[in-house]
Amino acid sequence: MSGNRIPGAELQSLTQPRTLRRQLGPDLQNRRDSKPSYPTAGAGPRPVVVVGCGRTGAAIATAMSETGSTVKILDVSVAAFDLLHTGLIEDGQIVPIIGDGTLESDLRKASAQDADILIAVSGKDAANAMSAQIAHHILGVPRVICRLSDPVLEEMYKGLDLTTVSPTGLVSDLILSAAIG
Amino acid sequence: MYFLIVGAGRVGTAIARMLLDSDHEIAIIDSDEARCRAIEEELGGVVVPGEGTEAAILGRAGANRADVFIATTRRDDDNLVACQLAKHRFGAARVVALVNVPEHVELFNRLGIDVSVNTTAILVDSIQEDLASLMIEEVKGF
Repeated sequence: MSGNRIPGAELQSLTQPRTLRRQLGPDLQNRRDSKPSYPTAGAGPRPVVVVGCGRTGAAIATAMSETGSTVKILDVSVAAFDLLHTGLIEDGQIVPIIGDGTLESDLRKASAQDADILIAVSGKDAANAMSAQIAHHILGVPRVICRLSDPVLEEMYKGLDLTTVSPTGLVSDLILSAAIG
Repeated sequence: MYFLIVGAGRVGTAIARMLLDSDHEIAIIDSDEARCRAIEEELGGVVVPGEGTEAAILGRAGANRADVFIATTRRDDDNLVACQLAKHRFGAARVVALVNVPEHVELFNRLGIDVSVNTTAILVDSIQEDLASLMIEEVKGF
């Protein structure tokens, strides 16, 4: 590790939308090119659904809309959508929808059943676990990613075939490397 | 038999009373202090205060030796996670959940959880909705 590294710089680079785009862009492109040959209603990639418009949800929605996907983002509170850039909403690249991601009916309002990927990042682990399982078991969404702060839940749901991300471990590692490294 | 109940609301408490009357061993988990106190006063030392979605609390309440685990909160997501923890992490023999939104029954069944639909809540919610529309109509009438 370089001596003149600013503590926390690694944390910053992890949250740069650009990094996310580089990682996800080509993958989504490939998915677009290798789509199965059934008729689709409109042109373009199938939508992304984000459940939860907190800071993380808003950042993810923004980054993914910049890769060319239409992003539908669900939140129970209309005030949450203030975190989104109005330009992206006006262009229709991000579609905010008021609803509860733990209700199958609200997930369908966000067309989750037609989505390529559902990302559950609300502030509540139980809600994310439920949204993810509805998406996976009932709606058949091909890729489902779920944030779980509780490491016990992360471990359990990994064992139940969900893709999970637990910020707790990641953040501790980053802080430790900034403190010790 | 040992029954572990999450949620000391109307349903959870009613189940607890019935089980105690039949001489079973029970414990109830609830996160609300006032409810915990009320249960303790009525039923004795069967309360474990805390969240039923936290492994530490479930462990403290002996979820691993539960013959039947019953989640009765008003939130289906909490009931779901509690039941899955009880089943997969603690190996509870049988898990049952109260389901507040009928469309969720399929999900719970697919995940190996027995369910009971909270018909009272559905009825109450439905009446409240009707009342709300009635009141809106009255206000419009002004």
